[in-house]
Amino acid sequence: MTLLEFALHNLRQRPARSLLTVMAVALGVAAAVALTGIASGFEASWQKANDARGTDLIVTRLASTNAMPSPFRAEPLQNQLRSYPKVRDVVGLLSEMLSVDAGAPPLFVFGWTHDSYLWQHLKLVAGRWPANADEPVIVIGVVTAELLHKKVGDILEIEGRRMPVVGVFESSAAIENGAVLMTLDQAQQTTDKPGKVNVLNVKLDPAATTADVDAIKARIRVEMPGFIAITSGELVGQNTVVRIAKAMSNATTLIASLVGILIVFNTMLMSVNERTREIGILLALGWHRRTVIHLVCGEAALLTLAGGIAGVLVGVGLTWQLEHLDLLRGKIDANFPLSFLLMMPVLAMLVGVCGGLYPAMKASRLAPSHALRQE
Amino acid sequence: MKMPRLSVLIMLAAIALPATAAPTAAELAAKMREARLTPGFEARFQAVNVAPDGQRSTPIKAAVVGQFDAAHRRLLLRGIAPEAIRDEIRAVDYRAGGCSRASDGNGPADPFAPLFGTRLVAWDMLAPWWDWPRQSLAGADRVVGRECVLVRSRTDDRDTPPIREVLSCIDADAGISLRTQLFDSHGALVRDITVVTTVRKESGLLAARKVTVAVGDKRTEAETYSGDEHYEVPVGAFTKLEGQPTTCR
Amino acid sequence: MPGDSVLRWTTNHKHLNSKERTMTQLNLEQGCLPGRSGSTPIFRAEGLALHFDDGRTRALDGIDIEVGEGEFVAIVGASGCGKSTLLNLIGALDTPTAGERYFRSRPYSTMTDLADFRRRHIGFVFQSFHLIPTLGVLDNVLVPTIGAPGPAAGHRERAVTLLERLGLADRLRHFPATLSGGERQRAAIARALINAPDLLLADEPTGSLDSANAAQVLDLLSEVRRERGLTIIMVTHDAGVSSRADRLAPLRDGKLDQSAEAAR
Repeated sequence: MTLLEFALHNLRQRPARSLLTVMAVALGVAAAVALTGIASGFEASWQKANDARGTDLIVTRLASTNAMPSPFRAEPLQNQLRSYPKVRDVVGLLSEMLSVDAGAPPLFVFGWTHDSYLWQHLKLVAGRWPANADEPVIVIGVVTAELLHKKVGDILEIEGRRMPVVGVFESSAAIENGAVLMTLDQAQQTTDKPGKVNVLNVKLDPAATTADVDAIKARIRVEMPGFIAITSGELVGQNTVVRIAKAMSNATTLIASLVGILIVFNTMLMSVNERTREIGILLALGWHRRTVIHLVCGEAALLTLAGGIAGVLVGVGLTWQLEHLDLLRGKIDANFPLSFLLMMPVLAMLVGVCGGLYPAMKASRLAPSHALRQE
Repeated sequence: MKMPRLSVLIMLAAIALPATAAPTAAELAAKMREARLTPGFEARFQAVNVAPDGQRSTPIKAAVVGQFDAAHRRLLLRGIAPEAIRDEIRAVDYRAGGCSRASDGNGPADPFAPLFGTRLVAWDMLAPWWDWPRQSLAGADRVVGRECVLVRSRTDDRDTPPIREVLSCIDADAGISLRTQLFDSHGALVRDITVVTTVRKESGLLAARKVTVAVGDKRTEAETYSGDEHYEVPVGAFTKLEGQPTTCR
Repeated sequence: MPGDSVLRWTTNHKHLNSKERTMTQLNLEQGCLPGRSGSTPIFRAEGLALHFDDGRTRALDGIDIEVGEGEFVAIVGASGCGKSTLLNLIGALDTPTAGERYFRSRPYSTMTDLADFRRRHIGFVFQSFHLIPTLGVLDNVLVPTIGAPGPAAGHRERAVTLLERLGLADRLRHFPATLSGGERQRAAIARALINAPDLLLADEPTGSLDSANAAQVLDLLSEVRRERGLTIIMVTHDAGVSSRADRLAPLRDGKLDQSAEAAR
């Protein structure tokens, strides 16, 4: 019999306690997995949206701590950027989070420069695109259409304007599928931001190198004070909502870990106290103290490993459910990197070892002769 | 030689100390006036009335354009949704000496009247009490987890103005009043405006993102969902105010 | 060799040749600790003491003892006289307050790894068997091999052989609760022998058994001792059990009872 088999055997002797411990750890891990997946997915979705659009650089106001970057006048900056080497196109974009129908959750409303490259990656599944920059119409993503039960020909009220749906589109970026799209001119009119955008999308020559990108960024820093050029990943990373989501997921992971350590500590301490005589026997039979420590920590690690695996499965499942809630559909596209999913059970095991360490040390320090006298 | 140096240090400290003394109420009021200066801003907010039993009304959406500079202190509010308030206008401005004008686009309007069926009042948004001559400190308090200084602002006695005294709990460094209580001539609390969440402006100062306006046991919750700190106020935006009678209270 | 407290013990001469018998008698007359003449004792203690409560309770109070290789020594005495305490000290389950213990001339105090020493050289058999109730017989026997060097398959094979030898071949998967007292003690003996110890310490191994099973267990121990050259130190208060021993070590109130030994 190996130490592992003996540890598993011991856990099976107290099935209810073992199960409760596993469930408690699993819940903590599930919460951490769900939050991290959502935060990561939000970040990835934004990045995917920009990548899908073919944007290489984003120019926005510096240090925007609001959910959407502050709007600014597009024209002067746009013209200046177009003069830079390796810049192929500069296109403005206005994005807002607006409630578009009574009772409906807020949606992303994007205003894109008509006939720009931003539209090229979208696939029209019904209807048509806006005919020109001034046409006061909207196209909606497939998720929006499903969420609001709207189709081509229906009307959506946006900021007091009744706008007909002329098309339904599908995008490789989940965040766009849950959005409403109109021309930039119409978005500016709707939100009373004439001539303004909150993002300038810069498309570079395919031959542009990393050095070219860095040079453009440096030049913008100098020539456009108050503005910054960043990649889509950097923009998303700076986004307050993303940062808050990440902070929340980190905090949840930390709290779950601390709670997990306490739960395992309690479980293993109870177990050690109940097995005093048995541990005395093991020591009398020639077990090394470190073998006793390995046994107790091993049992703790097995419990938390099981909890970690279960927690990952529950967390992923829970997030999938959240993604399909009306309130959140189209807004989250949870992302679970394999390395993260593999790391969580390992982290859980570490929690187990930490929680089981004191009980293990206590067990190993038992005087065999005293332990044998225990009932 | 050490003793003379020490005495010089003590002298310098004695001179320096008054310079770092706590600001007076008048200084705080001046700071608040300065914090509100802007060549133009635009914001959109959603407001909902909450009954004592927790029942919530259908939310309204409105836009506000503002201009606070040396020459002007004025606001233009426009209803967006629902249809009942769409394009309903309220323009209001405040002038030196406690005088204000208001218009609903067709004629004069009452700057103290509730807006769009809520408990929001245009006059409150102008915060004219920071110009009142009688400012005094009234202690300190804590609102939304932040320490703030209580400043009491009083008008000179005039014809029965609805608001005679305002007690603000301000974070002067952040340029925001975290709680504003408005009292009538009898000292009764008329309205209590409390900031729930804030947003940081590009200047680093704070602005209210969500506020609660309480009148008795009823309240209105208003939250900003969009904004532009560099709004270019269109020429003629405030023409509705031209020719309107001025009320000095 | 000489000391004030000298254990005089009766030898069972059956295993000694005439020369050894003579030497033993000579040693007794000189007051020396007898053993196999010229051989290093497997265990020796000098001035062994164990006190509690700041010396107010003296479980053992200065014991000198020697046990030769392959001997069967019975520690006898009334209940509470310190028999099990002495056994625990021999097995390094306790640390003495004073005195030194030697295993084949090596002091215990120089051993850095007493657990390893126990595993390699000591086998324990307890009155209450102390089998793990949730493990089967085979798994109980294998418990001392966990963490020990050597492949698991080898340990398993050895355990099965031992259990077959002790008549438990058809009880490998049985839990202790389903065994008779004698079977449980045989399983405990198998567990004690799994790591091929040199010294078997048995604390009242027949205390919980009826006379038939007790005799069976004692026969088994004798056979194993002969086969393996095992040294046995047994605590017992049963005269029938102690009569099987080569020598007695009578204890009284934590000390060696020389008068009792002289009387035997």
